[in-house]
Amino acid sequence: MNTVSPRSRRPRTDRHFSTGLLLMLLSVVFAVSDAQAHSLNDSYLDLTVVDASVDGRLKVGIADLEIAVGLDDNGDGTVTWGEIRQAGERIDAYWQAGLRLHNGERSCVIDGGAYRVEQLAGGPYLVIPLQGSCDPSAGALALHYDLFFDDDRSHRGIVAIDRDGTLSSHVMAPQRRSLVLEADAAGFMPTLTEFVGEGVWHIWIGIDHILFLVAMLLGVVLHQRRGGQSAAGIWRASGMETVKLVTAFTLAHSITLVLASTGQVSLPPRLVESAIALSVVVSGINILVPIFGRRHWKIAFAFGLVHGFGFANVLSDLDMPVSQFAVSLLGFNLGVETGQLAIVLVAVPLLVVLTGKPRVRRISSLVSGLAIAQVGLLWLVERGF
Amino acid sequence: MTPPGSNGMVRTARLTLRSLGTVLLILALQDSGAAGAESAGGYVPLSDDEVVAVLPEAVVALANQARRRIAADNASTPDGAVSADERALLWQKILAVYNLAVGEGSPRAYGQALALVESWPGSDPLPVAVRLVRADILQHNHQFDAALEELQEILAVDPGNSRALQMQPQVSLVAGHLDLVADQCQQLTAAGYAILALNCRAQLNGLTGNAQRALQQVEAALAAGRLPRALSFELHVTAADIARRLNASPVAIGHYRGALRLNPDSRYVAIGYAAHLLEQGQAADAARFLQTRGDLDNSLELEILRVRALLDSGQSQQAWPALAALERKIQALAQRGADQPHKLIALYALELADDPQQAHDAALANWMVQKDPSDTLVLARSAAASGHHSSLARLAGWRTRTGLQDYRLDAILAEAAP
Repeated sequence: MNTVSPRSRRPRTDRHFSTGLLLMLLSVVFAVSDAQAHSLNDSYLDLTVVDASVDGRLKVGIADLEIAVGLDDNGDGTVTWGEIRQAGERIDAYWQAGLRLHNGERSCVIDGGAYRVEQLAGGPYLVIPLQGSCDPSAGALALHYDLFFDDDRSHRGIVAIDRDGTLSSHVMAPQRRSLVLEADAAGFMPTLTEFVGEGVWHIWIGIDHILFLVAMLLGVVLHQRRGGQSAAGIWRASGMETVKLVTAFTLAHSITLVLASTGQVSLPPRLVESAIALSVVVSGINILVPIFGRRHWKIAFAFGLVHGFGFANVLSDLDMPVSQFAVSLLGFNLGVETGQLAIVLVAVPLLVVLTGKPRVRRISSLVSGLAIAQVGLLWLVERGF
Repeated sequence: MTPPGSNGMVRTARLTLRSLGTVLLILALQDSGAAGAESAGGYVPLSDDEVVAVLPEAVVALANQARRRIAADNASTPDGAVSADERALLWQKILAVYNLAVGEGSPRAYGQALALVESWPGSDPLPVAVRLVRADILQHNHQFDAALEELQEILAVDPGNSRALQMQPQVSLVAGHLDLVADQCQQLTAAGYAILALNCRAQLNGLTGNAQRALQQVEAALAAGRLPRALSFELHVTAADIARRLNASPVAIGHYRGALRLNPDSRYVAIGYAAHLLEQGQAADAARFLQTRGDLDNSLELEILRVRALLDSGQSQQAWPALAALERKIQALAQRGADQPHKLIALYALELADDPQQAHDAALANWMVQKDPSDTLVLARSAAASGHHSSLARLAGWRTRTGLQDYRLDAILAEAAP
């Protein structure tokens, strides 16, 4: 169906199938299918449902009907009006088996009218007028569309529905043969869930974001330790500072994520990635030498703005549905926050405990500070030059 | 070629014709109900003898296949058990329909081939040959990751399967999984397919900053000796594509022609060659070349190029009916929602409909799925035309990450740079 860029080639056959082997060897010599044709093999179903009455039209390709039920009786490669009329029973039986409307458990009664022929972009179509009635009290109205799929997985049913004045359109496919014609939920929850997952996944595999966050959290804990507070005070103060830091980071990267995703602001990816690497370097140095002081949350806000651009770059590489842009963006951001929160909930108690003993604190801060700063520096060189 | 100095007149004439075409198109659409939604349309033929449809050859073949299948199904064992003969017969049907799909480029045939593959008895493991067909159909349907997974499973069972080894890097390249390709080329080397491996590496190098060297290697292989036609064809195509991106037009044209001599039916090469002639301002040559092809009905991309070539070479009389028909088809395809052919829609909107915004949206949707240099270029051109700087920035990032060399992309990005 689609235009494929590569020179697609024909596969060779399994050695067990000798007849195919000859054909396939020939096919390797002459790889002829390199771009796809686009003759259309879709059907069109237009329905108007007002209260109990159903009115509409089904348009099916005569070529598709020829394959499904056989129209060309004399095998001359053409279909005449007489051949269509002769095949009327088969045609009716076919569409009535494949196209059904239900109200709850109850089937609607749909009759087909006199055929017409219409020339559409995809070739000649048979137009079948539809008329019928449903019992609206029997439950939700549902459409079952199962035409041509068994013979042709590339077939699509293009459905346009006017339900009591509300218009909607749908594409029926082999994986989607049924449709409930109630208020259009438009896939809000699945999209939200999918992008929450993407957000969580990205923060978890985004080692640069994690390193920055952990380095900042360690900086906060170390800063509190240097204040010489009691054990309870350390937990309380670290907790408070963590909340401030995480809130500032979240707010900042949310701002730039929205701005970049909506195209309001655009920065070169190289600059963004380099700046993220720089944030890792600086936060690593802060572990070794306390340069942030009490300004951790302010620094987190500043670098959070940069990380937001990084998230936006990832989001732009995902196949975000245009019609649900806001939902996707919200979901992705929620996912990032959720993933981040999980990291914070694990990291902060661990850091507080680990830094409890001065000797361990000195060694761990030295090792982690050097390691983080060095990794950040490597990224900075790699991305920036 | 369009004579120098007449560009303004040609452009004005083109715009006028487009406007006229659009008006006529709207009238035609209202009349025909091509959008399939509102038109009462249609007619009742006057007599039973009236021919209402002339069936394309592919449809006749598919219908015959379907009839034979129904007859065979009726004759099959009633208890549902599937014999070896029945499996062999099913494979023959799959192969016949699949060959038709590939040969004719018929989406119906691809759809039917997939339906047949999926009808393989569930209790039997799918033979490698059938899985290869499925992998190719998945690739055709742009399900690249699924195609790669299928190929990897085939290779787990049959590590030396040459077809799977060849398909792997092709799918990875078009899907933009360039990090996988080097290893996949190496698998070809390990399996003893030296020239295929060379071609594989050249394709990768051609996209990752070593285009000049890749071109030299391919040309050396072509010059070195007598290769089988299929391999020579592949090498010519690789060389033509790389040379085109390096702005070495005579070299590209030489290799396109070399490839077409070996396989005149290749639509991929025809598209590349015609598009290159258009890029070089040789619209009349492109139009002449495309007029000789009998497969325009099977490829809307070729048809788009033909109409563009006709318009650019001042043959507007021939262009506008084709333009109107194209628009109807594109509009109908656009109704397919997520399944619409984004690249075609982008090309049409960019080349013929003067709608860079629509072109950009479609090109971006396409680029999310496939990242061949031609996909990248369509996105770059439409982004530049519609002022989508974020897309240009993304492409600049892609170029930096991959090392892609393409003088056309470079020019667009340089012009858009602040």
